[in-house]
Amino acid sequence: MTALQVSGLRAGHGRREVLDGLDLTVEDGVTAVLGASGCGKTTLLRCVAGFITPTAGEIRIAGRSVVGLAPRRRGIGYVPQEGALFPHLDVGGNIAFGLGRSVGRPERQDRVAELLRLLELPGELAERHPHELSGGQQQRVAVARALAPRPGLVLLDEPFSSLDAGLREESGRAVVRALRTAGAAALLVTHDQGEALSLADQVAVMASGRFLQVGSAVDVYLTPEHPGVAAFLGSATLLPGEAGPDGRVDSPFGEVALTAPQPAGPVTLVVRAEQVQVSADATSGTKGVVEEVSFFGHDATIRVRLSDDVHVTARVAGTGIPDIGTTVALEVVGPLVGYAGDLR
Amino acid sequence: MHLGTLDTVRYGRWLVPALAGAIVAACLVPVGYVLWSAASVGPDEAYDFLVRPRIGELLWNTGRLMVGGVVLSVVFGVCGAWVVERTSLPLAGWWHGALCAPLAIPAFVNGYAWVATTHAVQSYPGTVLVVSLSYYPLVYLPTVAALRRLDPSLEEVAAALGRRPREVFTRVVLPALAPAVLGGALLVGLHLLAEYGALQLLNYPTLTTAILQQYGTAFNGPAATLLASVLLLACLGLLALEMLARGPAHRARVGSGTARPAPRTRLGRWTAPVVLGLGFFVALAVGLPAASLVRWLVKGASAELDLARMLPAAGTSIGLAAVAGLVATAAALPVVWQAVRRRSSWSLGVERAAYTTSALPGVVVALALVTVAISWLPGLYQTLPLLVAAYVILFLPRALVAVRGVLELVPPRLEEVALTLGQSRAGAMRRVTLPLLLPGLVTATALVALAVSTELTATLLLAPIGTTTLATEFWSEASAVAYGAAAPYALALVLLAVPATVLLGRSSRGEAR
Amino acid sequence: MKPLSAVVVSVSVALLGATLTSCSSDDALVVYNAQHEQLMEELVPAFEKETGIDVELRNGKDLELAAQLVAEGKKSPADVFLTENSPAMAAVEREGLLAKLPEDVTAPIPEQYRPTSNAWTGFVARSTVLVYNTDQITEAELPASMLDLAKPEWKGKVSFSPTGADFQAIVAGVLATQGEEATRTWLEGLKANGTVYDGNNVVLESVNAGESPVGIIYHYYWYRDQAEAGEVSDNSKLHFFGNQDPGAFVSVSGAGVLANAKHKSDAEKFVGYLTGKTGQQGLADSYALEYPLNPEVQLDPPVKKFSELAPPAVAVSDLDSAAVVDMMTEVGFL
Repeated sequence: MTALQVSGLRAGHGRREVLDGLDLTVEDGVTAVLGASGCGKTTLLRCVAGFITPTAGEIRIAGRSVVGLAPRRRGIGYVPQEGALFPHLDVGGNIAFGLGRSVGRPERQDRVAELLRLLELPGELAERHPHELSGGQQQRVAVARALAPRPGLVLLDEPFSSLDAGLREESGRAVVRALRTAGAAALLVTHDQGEALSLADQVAVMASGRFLQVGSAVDVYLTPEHPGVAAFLGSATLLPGEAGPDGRVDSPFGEVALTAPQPAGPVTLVVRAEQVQVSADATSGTKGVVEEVSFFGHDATIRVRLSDDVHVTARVAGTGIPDIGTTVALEVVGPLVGYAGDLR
Repeated sequence: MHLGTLDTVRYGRWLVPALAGAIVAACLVPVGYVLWSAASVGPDEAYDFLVRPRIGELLWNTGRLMVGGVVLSVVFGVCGAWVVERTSLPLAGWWHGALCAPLAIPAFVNGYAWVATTHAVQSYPGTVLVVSLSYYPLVYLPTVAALRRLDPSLEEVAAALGRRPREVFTRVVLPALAPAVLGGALLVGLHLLAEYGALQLLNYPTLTTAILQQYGTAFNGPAATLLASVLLLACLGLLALEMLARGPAHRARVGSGTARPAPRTRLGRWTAPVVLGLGFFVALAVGLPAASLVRWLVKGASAELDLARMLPAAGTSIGLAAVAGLVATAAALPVVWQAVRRRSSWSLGVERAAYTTSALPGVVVALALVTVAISWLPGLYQTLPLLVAAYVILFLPRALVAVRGVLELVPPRLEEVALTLGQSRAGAMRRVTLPLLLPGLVTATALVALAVSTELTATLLLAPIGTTTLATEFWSEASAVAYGAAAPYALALVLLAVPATVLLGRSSRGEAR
Repeated sequence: MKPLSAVVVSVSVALLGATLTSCSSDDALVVYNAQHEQLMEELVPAFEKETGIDVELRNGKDLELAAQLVAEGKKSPADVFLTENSPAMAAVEREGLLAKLPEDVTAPIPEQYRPTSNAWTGFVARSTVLVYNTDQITEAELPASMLDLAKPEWKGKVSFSPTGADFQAIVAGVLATQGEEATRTWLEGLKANGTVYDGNNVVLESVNAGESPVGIIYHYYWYRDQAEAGEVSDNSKLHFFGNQDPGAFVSVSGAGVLANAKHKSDAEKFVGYLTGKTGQQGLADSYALEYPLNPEVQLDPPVKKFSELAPPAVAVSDLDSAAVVDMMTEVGFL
């Protein structure tokens, strides 16, 4: 069954429209809503949770219309930023919070233990208080708390943003595994593309209250339908190009191939950093001067100036990083995504 | 994130504002009475009465008492809190108790004790000193609480930036404490505006003592309320000042609950002078009034303890204080909720309005309720519910300040999580918000209860006939120059105030649970 | 914490219940009492025993209870009003809230001490005195008249409490005997010479402490403190002006019955008891040390005899409190 269906959703703050007619279907698995801060993704989440009443549109959870329904009757779990564990309750108390009055003490304890296991947390944590946990543990307990009443849909609001990079990935994986085991669909709101691409089955890219593209992580990455999507995902550079009547495309790199043909006239080309091959031997290919280097250990991105107003970002292996100021030769590998017109 | 204000909940969309509005409207009854009664004086007559040297003198006296009393209370309160919480002071816990203790001593008892000791206090500096010794705990307590929850990393950052401890305190800690200090300072200011008993003894005429004299000598209600309107203006000025000083609203962020203790300044060779100074201060604030009470008890011929009289009075005092404390705290909740969770200039205005009445002397508030109740609610006249309502109206600001301090620290997100976990609005309130507010609610109840136990005028006018409290019995004996007989009642008042004071001391240090 | 607050609630409810059941019945006579509470607590039980009438006291000060009666108006639950000084009574009378007292109730009190309207009656009195610090002032230096205190030689040596009802009665006495011009001159001189305190007890205390060599008070403050421990009176003595001097003015405490009293005949019986011999004897025997006004009863020594006071001949009806307040406001005391 469809876990969540949103159609024509509008919501706003006073006269300011924040959500501008959204449509989204979450079947199962994790759907990430990816967007820069202020794009409206948290407002969407809060509409689904029932904290905000939309001005128009429909929200269905497990097939049931929930607009006007109290949050507690929607059958959802909610994991806010930084977890928001109840500071006056221990971990067990937090996890068991949403279990009804009818659930007896032994059952509660069993469920708490089960959820701690599910989130790969040690069982003795149940007695601790939130302030005695690490950030990652707090976050997992918050997920366990949300899963305890067995919701069909879990809403996660930037759940890993306060964790450091290594912990983020590990926690994210553990949480997704737990969600899958529990059989809950999830709506994950994030501004971190790595998080969205690596954890989600479906990614919805959002800007200014609209979805730019909704699709699988691979689809939105490899075939972005909008230059905005392309620019937001991965390190990509938008470059001007010119399509000829014969279908050939001219670019600052010379002639390039496109993933799909474009009509004659100006085109905007998406050059992903990993598509640019850099060689120190400046005899063949397009020449440029290295202006910036960002070193990540396993690899690095460098920013190269091709001409006064054309820069491009390239990814290089951690072992062969050119010095700033040196001239390098660049070559494009594989077909580029292009859009008709100059959209930069 | 201000999304929480968008439309947090569907329930109580009107209930909480309606409750808050009703409570504040009830609080404004005395203000309405003052304006209505003052309006009965013709404009020319009012002008002649108000524009004369005597009123100027009273205004000047009131103004400089406010400035001096508030400043000195802040100095005492903040310095005390810093020494106890942030230095290597030995026996800090004990000193904390001693510094809270003046809360248990009614201002008029303190006034009696000082005047009996030296007449030098019957002057501007003396008066400022004595009232500050009585009221500084209203600044001290919230400051201690704020110091406790202040993120120590702020101070560490400043220290790492090369600031010396004193600079860290003035440039980082003090600004972070400002909301707590200002809240306390506002309470002190309001109390000073309405203070009568202590100032009468200290022979320091203010607008409030003049209002009492208008009733007492001229039996002139309208003239007295005309003066009370001036007092209201002063109160509005005070509220505006506090708002200005508070600056643009900012919400305190909840800490992630670090148990890390804050850094303490090493006193080193300053230990002895600081301990001596604190000792001297506590001797002035607590020792001197306590010694006076004991002296009256020992010397006074009329000092025989009539337990059959005292016990019912003590019982009534406890009962009234507890009930009024709880009711005032309950009444403060919707008002503060409205102001903090649905912050708008309207909701803030409503909250502020609740403060105005507390600047009026008890007799004006009581007479307002007499006038209103006997005409509109004759069935309630001189019954306990009306008396409790009077206490709530008089002392609501104490509860507001205390409840506000904690509600600002409870993130709305916690309630939202509870809402998604099957809780109704009321359930989330009961299971999440209230337990987290508990320290503030305890503080609010204790602060109001302490004030109620020493209240006199409203009790005399509005209590069911035949009701005696420790305060009415003390006054009755003391005004008959029977200090010996009065002393046991004062002592009982002080002793009964001890549990509330202990509770306050503990909850300010986060030890309430 | 939760069980604790539950305990607090239940205890307080129980206590309130206990205090409530102990009082209030509709038949009891309601007395708004601004006289000293202790005095009434000695007299009331005797009255209840003699008549079988229940009495309930609402205690307060002149200013509060008079203001409360005026605010309550015709709906007041009060039957009887007792004051410490006459101006409070006069203020309630001005509002038309007092009933005329029957002849037999007022008869024992000399005419000088009750108003011609018979709307209330005096029942005890206090004499104006000058208290002086015996270390600073000798008997020979004492002024012959209270009016002398306005003279330059007393500059910085006098203290008084102009803001209480007590002093207002004294000024009314001066006004009645000396006329407006002389009273104004006297008040202005006194303001220039004196230290102002709030309350007769504060004046007594500061004279005794040597803050101020002489002070204007009522006699019983000094006598009571002597009876207590002498803590604020041992270094001082009283000077009675006598000779019909305005400084020997005698101020009366009043008793009146409310026009809308629910228990009017009981109320009249109560006032009659206060003016009658038994009640007056009770007053004289109490700690109050105020002068009974019924000539059949005398106060015991060491208090100076009422008959030796030689006060100015001023009838309470002649006291013009409105003019006094205007004058005091003009001079800047209020």
